[in-house]
Amino acid sequence: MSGIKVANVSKRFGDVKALKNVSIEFRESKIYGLLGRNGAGKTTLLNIITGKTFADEGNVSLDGEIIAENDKALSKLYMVSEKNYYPEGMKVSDAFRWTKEFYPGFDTERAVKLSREFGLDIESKIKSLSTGYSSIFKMITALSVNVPYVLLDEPVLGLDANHRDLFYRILIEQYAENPATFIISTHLIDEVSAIVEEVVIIRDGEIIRNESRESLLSKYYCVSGRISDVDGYISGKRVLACETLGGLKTAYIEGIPDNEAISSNLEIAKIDLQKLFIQLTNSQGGIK
Amino acid sequence: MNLRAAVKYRLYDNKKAILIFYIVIVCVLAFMFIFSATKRNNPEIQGSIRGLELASAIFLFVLGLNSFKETFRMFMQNGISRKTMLVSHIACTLAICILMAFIDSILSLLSRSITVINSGIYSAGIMEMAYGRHINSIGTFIVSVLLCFFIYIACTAMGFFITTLYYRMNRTQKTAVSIGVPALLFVILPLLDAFLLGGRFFASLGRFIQSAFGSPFMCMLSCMILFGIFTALSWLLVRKAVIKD
Repeated sequence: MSGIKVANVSKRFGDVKALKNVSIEFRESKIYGLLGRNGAGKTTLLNIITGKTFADEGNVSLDGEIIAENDKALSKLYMVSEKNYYPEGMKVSDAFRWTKEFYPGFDTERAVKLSREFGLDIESKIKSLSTGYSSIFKMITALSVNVPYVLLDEPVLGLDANHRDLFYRILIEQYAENPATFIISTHLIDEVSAIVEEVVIIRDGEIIRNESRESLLSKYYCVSGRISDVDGYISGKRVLACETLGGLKTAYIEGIPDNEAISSNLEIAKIDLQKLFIQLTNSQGGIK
Repeated sequence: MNLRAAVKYRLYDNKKAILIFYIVIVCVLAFMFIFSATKRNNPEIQGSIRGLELASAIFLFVLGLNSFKETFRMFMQNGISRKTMLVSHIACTLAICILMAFIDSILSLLSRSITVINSGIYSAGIMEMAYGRHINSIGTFIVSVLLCFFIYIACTAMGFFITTLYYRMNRTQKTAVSIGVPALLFVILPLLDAFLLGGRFFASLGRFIQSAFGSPFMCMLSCMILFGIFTALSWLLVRKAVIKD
């Protein structure tokens, strides 16, 4: 079986259950958006997949092999973490050199070229890099490593809009030329919305949505209008959430708009991924 | 492939520290040579060079202490399993220790030549200090190299065990061990031994150490056992170690 398979994984930190019996598959050559609020369990899940930490229960396999303590499986994965795990006194150029040793497919030329594009001085020490350039260094490494599975945990942390745009463009180009599985964990949902093919939403350690972006967004719509009109329309429907502003109300609804809505004074719109995410993961709960 | 890269990285990581250590040692020896040569007619000049190998043993203990956290993070980032990490550590330890044992035995021989230049300066290696044996043949040279090697691997393994133990412990456990172990060894046990056992415990311990390290070959065997014990304990700690942010 190809891909990463997470089976019944649970993880607890003291009294906090970070992951609750999570089962999910990340298929080959897809771009996943792993979305969740702070503390939802995204980083814990990625750390368990890459063997940085251990699950209390369950297991993770890659192409049918258990990943934990398996050098062969681990060599097919590369994860960019929020934290830097390279020695701080190491130069960027040395980090590239050593990544090449550990991952023979690492494209040093490409890494140097990307460094130039992003304005990263490869003779700098990693500890001297700003938050943004530290992210750029890790992201360039990930984009040059040439492994089948790349996990990016907050890859654009501290990057300005220009660099973020450049990153997304390079990622898409790379994906088109040499497809691999990218799992992007980020809070900048609007920005990755156009890139991700599959959406995984995690809330309080549980996967609440796992499907293609198209399919997910097609299941919801929103209606806006006068409060009384909207209230009349949503009665009996599966309502995700409502927002009221002055005399106007917007309702987020699960399903497909019907003729009643189309013919009424209500305004119907597609829901965007960020709005849907907010409604699905807000503290009131949303529909599970 | 991963093991080869891991060993290569570890050797690269330790190269600078080892070079600096030997630059200092060579400078000290060079100073002693020059000093001995210029003062050789002065009968008031007396001195000694002892235990060059002990300096190496302490250096390797410290190297062992510094061999975990940063390398563990680097290896976790680069898809190296904990098992490969430990195997690479053992391979690197063996390579460094045999090399240093060889260099130290050569330096020990060289430093003995100071005595020839200036009889007021006395020089002794670990073989002579501990067992009263000079390096005067190929056989004794090989024994000296092996003795140093086994002492070095035991020291490195002890340093590595301590650092992995501290990595795995939380703050309270670290404090308890940091205070508890010295208190137990240097206060509680001596007091208990003196008042309850009439000193018999430490006398027996002394006899045990004497027999365990009483000859070069017993010392090699004991150090090999210590290396095995510390490495096995380190593995128990490393196999479940996780990245700490």
